[in-house]
Amino acid sequence: MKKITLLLVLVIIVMSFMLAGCSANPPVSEDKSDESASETSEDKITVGISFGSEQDANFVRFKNVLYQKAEELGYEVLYTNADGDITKQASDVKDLISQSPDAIIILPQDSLAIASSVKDCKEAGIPVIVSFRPIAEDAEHKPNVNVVADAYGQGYESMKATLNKMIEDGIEGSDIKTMIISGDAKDENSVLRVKGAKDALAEVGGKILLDIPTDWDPEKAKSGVSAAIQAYPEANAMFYAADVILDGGVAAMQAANVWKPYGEEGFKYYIATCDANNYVVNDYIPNGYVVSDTLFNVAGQATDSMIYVKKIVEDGEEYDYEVAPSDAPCYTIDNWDDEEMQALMIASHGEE
Amino acid sequence: MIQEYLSNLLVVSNWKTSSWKNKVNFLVLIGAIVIITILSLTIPRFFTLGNIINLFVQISTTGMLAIGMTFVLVTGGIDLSIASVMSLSGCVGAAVMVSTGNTFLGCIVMLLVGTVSGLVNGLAIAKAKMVPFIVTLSTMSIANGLVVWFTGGQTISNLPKTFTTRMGGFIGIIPVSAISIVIVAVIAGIVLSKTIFGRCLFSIGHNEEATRVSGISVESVKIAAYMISGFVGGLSAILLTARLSAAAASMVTDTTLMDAISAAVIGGASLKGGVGSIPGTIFGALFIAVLTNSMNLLNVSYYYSMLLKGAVIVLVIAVDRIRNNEL
Repeated sequence: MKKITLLLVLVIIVMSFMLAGCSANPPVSEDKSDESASETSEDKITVGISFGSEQDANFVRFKNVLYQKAEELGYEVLYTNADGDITKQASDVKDLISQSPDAIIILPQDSLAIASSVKDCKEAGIPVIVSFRPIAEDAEHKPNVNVVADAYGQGYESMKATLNKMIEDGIEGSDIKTMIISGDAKDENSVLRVKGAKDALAEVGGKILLDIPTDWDPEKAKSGVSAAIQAYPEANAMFYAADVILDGGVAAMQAANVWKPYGEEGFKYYIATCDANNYVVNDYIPNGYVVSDTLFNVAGQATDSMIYVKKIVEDGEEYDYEVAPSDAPCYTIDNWDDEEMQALMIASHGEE
Repeated sequence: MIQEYLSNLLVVSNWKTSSWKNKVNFLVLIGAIVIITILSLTIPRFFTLGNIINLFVQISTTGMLAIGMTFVLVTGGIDLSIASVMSLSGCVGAAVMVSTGNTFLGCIVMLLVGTVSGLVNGLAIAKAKMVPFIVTLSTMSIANGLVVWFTGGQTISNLPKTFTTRMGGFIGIIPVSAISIVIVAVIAGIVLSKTIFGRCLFSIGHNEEATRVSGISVESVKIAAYMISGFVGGLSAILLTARLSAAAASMVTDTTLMDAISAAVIGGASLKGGVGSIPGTIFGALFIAVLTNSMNLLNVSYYYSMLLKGAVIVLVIAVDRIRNNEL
């Protein structure tokens, strides 16, 4: 009997988790028993949002801006998160479709595999906006609008700016020896940023010494960079696929006493990175620790995505396949304090 | 088969005389039915045709993997590599399809990669007497590494139309993946409950030494169980690749593996071996799919749904312990 009681207690615990979850974020759909609530819900425009994952601050910021913009416009939001699983994302989008929202915004985990979900949305007659990643050129089905963050361009432009600085300083292309610190090998943003950086290096004949995969984990970046500093003393450049892993690299360089600003004795590494977080642009770049950083315009993409929902659903505008690129300037010592660029960065990442 | 499963559960009509395992299974079944009923009745748009079809499609991946898992769990083993092997099979097979344009060859390669991975697991566990948990954890890591190396982290698409439309399409209003899971479940159910091979699997799970003494080649049966698990992984790779019209290293994550194990255990399979059934496993997959679907339909915060799934897994393990009189 004790065991039965124990089993029942466990079931009750699970049920209470379930109830807590349900009460924390109530359903937005109509409730037949509450007509007034039903009317309010039905009057509102509903936007389905499918996130590929919510692993780092960029996603959280993106989500917050989407919700903020939806609130301003008076829209209801249905939200799902696939936790990095492209199969779950396909199911999530189908779950959203079954709730018949007025539009769906997808932040795909994979820009090719998402084509089947785009097809599902279109077949259901629901406008679909893909954001955060560019939909692959050879994807079979294209969304109504693709709010683009060009990951390849980010990697290419940031590396290119750093290489230009090195060449300006009289370093021959063939003498440029780079360590690549990449993110998650399964994440397209990492793969494309690294590809862009590698292409920029190939243009000047630079050499890649090694590629350190980090799974976007600063601790892995720290241990990988620590080992690489010892193993490759000839390295003179580093490319980080994101600021979040630069943090790990900085810790490793500080420990090895090679985190030095440009022009100071012992300066060793020309560093390129991506995302343009506030502390990198306003501290590392002006003080000469980092040469270049391209912006990942989080808030701009989120705002544009919701504005396109308004244009399609409220204003009746029609888009067959519109590509809406977001600004992704490259911050260097020459332009980091430009007012417009500062404003863009703060709008994108917030004041922090 | 289903009748047998239900009669085993409903034998509790005489509560005092029925076995402890049947009592626990009965309570789990009732609990799951109550949860499914509450969720389905309280969620608007749950019983729409689109959502029901959607549920069947969702069950196909979890259910298929859970069927493979059941064969292994019954022997007292576990296959942690099944989801990663599925990704690897899907990517290798998709690459073959794209490069040769031959759909049939691509499907054969997917099945072959899955089966060979199962064979490797089986040999290491049955012949080399290595611990299933460690062996399959290592295979999972190897498969994950191989798939990233093979694809370069990029997605394989532009698969032949014949493949995506036939395997990822519908027959009438029923998705091919739903029909496939029914066929696989029926075959697997017959193999597990009606054949000598199936009885050998249960016997190994109950008492491996006694099975060996009775003249059964325990090693061969175990290897076959892991090969079936790998084969089913390859089969689900075919369905999933067709459904997504693409294959990638991130096709599935650890959550898929968790769902497959949870589905099998909710359905009555014991982590200790010797117990399990295919109808139960399919019911477990349905429970997991309804839970995930409901969380989305209720617009429940992602964090709460993670908490809930974690709690369900703890519950599942506790149920297994209680079922085995270990708590």
